[in-house]
Amino acid sequence: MLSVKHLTVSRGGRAVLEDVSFETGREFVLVAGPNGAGKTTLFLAVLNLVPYRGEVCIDHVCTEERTRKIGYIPQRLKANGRGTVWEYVYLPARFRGVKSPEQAAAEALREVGLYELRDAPVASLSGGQLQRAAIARALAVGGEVLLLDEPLANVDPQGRLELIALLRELKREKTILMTSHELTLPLDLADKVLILNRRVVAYGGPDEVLREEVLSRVYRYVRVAKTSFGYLCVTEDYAHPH
Amino acid sequence: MASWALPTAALLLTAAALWYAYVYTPLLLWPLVSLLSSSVVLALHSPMALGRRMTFLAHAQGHTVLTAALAAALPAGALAVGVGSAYYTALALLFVVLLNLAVLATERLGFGKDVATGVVMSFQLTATIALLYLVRTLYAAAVDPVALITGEYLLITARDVAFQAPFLVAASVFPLLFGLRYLYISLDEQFAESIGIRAGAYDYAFLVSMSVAVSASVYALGSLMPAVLLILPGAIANRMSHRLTDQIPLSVSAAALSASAAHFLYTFVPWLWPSAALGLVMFTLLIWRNK
Repeated sequence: MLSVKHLTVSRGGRAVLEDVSFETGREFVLVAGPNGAGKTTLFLAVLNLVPYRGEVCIDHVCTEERTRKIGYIPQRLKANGRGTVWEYVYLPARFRGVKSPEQAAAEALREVGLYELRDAPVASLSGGQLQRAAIARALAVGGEVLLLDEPLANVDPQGRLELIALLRELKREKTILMTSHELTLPLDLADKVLILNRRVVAYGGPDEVLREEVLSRVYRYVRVAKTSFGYLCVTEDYAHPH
Repeated sequence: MASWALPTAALLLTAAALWYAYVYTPLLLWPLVSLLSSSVVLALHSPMALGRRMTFLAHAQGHTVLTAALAAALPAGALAVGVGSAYYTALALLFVVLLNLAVLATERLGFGKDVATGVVMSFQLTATIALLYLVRTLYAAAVDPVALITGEYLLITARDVAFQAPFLVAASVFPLLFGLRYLYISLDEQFAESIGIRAGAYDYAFLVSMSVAVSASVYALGSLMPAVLLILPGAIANRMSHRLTDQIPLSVSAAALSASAAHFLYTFVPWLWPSAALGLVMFTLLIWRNK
């Protein structure tokens, strides 16, 4: 279980996140909000990579040790260096001291459907395949809590469908937090939606949060429709001034 | 070419060069040992310099070490100690480390790494001119500035190698223990940070390690060749394999093979200075392997 209590992060004397509190169990949480809302900063604080005030705990472990339970998928995945898909996934597991890193990497690659491509240069992967490789890497390092930062950006439609299918599988056994600019999502993917705008604007089930009167608190223009296959949300990405 | 072919060829040629020097040209044995060990230790750093996009900084080591060597020559000249002494090497090392850390300090002024490197190099070039003039004026008989550029290959003795050895061993520690982690940072810095690999600390450690390697090599290779050995072996490894784990072994193999071949070339074509021959062999290796 991930628990965030009164989290405040400041940069250059300005609060980027202020008094953010929420809890989540083994479920999929979509973290949304306009540009500069603090979505990535929230992840960096959970990862202990930025100084913060407040408390962040995973399964009641509130020290830096909690980061050993996190698998992070950064926003801008780079794959322009040397390295095979296998090395991309296996080496971090080895560096982190995972028991039998070979087995962990092989299982993770099989889970995301990239085991056959393990000897391919990581630079040769498509956007969707690279996201899946990054998810495999997060699984291989023992991530019980997966933090995915904008994984659907820069992925073609087919890649998105594959990625969503994979996330749907993973959410059965992991806690997943995924940031996204887009609020359009399949009905059965997100268990909860967290709307951030430096503070928590709304947190709850999709039916409760993905409503025009809620989203209009942070977006200038909002249209929401619930269809048979998912939520269609159109937002104009300008935050109200604080 | 399979990834084991280059290491095998390097091992065989190195053994042949050492045997030939020991049996037929004993005066060149210690110069060869010094050339080989300097080349190998610099090549350990080469894939990391390329991976972290520090090629400009690595190339700037030519300027850095010349400035540092000249700066070290002033107190060395005053105390009448030779440029092959441990005292001189330690002084040169101190100046190289300071100049490299000046690049990181300049970055803090808001410049990118390449601009910061350029800014520091500009000051260094000015300092080099001033130092060259001073050394030539004050210690013309004791210090030969040309030797600082070309290296003192023929004058290298067992004593020089013994002086060089601890510095080279020290410079090998970081690449051997943390080289692969550092290469992984170049693949994905954000993720590496998330699993506790602190990129900033590794950058500092790499710069210090590279500085030690460059300083320890200047007597054998001169001030310009260390920069070449920080770039070309890694570039050769890059072209030969896309595996991250192959990069350091292939880079070291390319350097050892080139140093051994360069030594043979010098033995049979004495006007071809070994450090120059080294560059030619590496250039051949680079263009020979066509993916």
